[in-house]
Amino acid sequence: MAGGIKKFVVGSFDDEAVLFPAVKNVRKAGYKIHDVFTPFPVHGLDHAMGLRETSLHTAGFIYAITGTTTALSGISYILVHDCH
Amino acid sequence: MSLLKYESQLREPLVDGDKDYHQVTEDIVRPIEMKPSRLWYIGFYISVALLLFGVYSIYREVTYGIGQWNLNKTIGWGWDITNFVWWVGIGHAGTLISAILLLFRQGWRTGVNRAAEAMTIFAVMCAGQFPIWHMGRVWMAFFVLPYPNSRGPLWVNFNSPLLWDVFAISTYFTVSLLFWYSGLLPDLATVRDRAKTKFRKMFYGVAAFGWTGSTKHWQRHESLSLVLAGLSTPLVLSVHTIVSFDFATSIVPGWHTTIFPPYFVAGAVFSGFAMVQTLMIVVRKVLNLQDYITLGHIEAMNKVIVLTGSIVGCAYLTELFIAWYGQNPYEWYAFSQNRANLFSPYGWSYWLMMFCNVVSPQLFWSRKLRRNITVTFFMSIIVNIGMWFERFVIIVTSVYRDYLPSSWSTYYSPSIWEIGFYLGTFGLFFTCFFLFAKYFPVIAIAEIKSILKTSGENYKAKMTDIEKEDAEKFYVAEVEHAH
Repeated sequence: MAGGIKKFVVGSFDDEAVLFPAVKNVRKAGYKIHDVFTPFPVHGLDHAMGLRETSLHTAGFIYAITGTTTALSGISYILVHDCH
Repeated sequence: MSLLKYESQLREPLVDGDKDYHQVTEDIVRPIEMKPSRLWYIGFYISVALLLFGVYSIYREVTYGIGQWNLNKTIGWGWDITNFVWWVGIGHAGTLISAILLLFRQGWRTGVNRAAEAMTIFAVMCAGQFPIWHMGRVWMAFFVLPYPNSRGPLWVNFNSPLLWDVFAISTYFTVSLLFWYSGLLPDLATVRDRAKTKFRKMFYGVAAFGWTGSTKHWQRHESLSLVLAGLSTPLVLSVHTIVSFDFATSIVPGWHTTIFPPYFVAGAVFSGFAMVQTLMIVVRKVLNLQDYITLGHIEAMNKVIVLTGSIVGCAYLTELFIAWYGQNPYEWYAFSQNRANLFSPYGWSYWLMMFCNVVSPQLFWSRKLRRNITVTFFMSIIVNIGMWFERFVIIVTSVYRDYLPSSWSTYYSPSIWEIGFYLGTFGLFFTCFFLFAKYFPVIAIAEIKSILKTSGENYKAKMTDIEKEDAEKFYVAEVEHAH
C-alpha cells in the first residue's frame, strides 16, 4: 500500500448461506472486515466477524440494581423515618 | 451449500406464497408508499370525530365536575373504571405476543407482533385517561407523584394499590413504547432507503435514528430486544394483578377475593387477543397482507382465546362456589342476588358476561371454526363485549347495594358525557391506529425476513425434496451397513 492509500473491497451477497462461509474465509485469509450490512439479523454473524459481545446486559443489570435500591430506600425512608 | 435452517414439515408455513426477501419489503411497504384509500379517509375522519366528541365530554366533566357522569353516592365507580380496566386488559395481548412469545421462540408472533404492540400502546393511552379525569380536580394530578413537597410533607400512600397502579401503568407504557419503537427502527430505515421525496427521506431518516443495518447494530438490537422482553414478561402478569388489587384489597362483597390477580390476567389476555383478531382481520384484508397474517396465525390466536376464556370461566365458577361455600351472608348476597339473579336490576349483565366469555369461546374447540374468518371476527366482538361486561358486573353489581339498604342505589345508567368519554377513547385509539397503519410498516419486515427461509411456503416446499432425498440416502446407507 504505497503512499498510505487504503484499499477496500466491497462484496455483495444475496443469500446469507453464501455470506457466512465468505466472511469466515476472508477473515481466515487475513483480511480485516470493516463491516457487514444486512437487512435482517443473521444469527451468529457477529461471532463469525469476531465482534465483541455487547455489555448492554451488564449495564442493564447495574441500572436495575440502582433503581431498585433507590426505590426501596425511598419507600423505607418515607414510611419509617418521615412519618410525623 | 449447506442449509442453515430447518423446520419440520408438520408446521404450517408462516409466510404464504412465492416470496423472496425483496417481495417481502414490497408487500409490506407498498401501503405506506401509496395514497391512502377512500376507506382509510372515512375511517380516519370518523375516528377524529369520535375523539373530538370525547374531548368535549371531558371538557364538560372538568368544567362542571364528576356530577356530569351519572355516578351517585353509592356508585362512585361506574363506566369510567370499567373502561379503564377494559382498555388496560386489551393491551396485554401485545405484550404477551412481543415478550413471552419471543422468549418461548414462537415463530408465528412475527406476523402480528408489530400491530399488537401498537395496539398495546394506544390501549394504554386510552386506559390512562379514565383515572386521570376521574380525579375531578385534574390539575391536582401531580399529587400522585412521590416527591418531597410543602404539603406536610404529605407523601403518597405506598400501601395503596391505586398508587401502584400509577407506577404499573406508567412503567408498562414506557417499556411497551421502547419495545415497539426499537423494533421499528430497522423497518423505518427500509422505508427511508426507498423514499423518493425529500420530505419522506427526512421524516423517516429522523425516525430511523441513523440505522444502517450493520452487524454491530443488529447485535445490539437483538440484545436490547431480549432485555426488554425480560422486562415486559413480569409486566404482563404484574400490571393486571395490580389493577385487580384495586378491588381485591377492599372489603366490598364481590371484590374481597384472592383469586382476582390470576383471574384478571387471564381475562386481560383473553380480551387482548380478541382485539388483536378484530384489528388483524381488517388490516390483513385492507392492506392485502393475507400472506403474512395467515389462517395459521388466526388459528393460533383462537387457541389462546379458548384457553384463556376457559380459565376465566373457571374463575367465575370458583368465585361463585366460594361465595356459597364461604357462608358469608354479604358475599353470598352479592353473588346470588345482585349478580346471578336474572331478575335483579343488573342480573342481565351477569348472564351476558357468562354467555360471551365462557359459553361462546367454546366454539373454538372446533378446528374448522378456528380457521373461519367470519366466525373469528364475530367472536372477537362478542368477547370484547363480554369482557367489558365482566368489569361492569364486578364494579357496579358489587357497589350498588352496600351494607346500608337505605343507601341502595336506584338504577344507575350512564349519562351521555360518560358514554361520550368512552367513545372518545375509541376515537383516540382508532385515530392512532389509522395513522400507524398508514405511516409505519404494520408487519415487522426484518423479522419476517429472518424466518422466511425456515417458515416460508416456497422454502418449505423445497425442503420436502431434500427431506425425501436424505431419507432415501439414509435408508440405503443403513441397509448397506446391515449387510
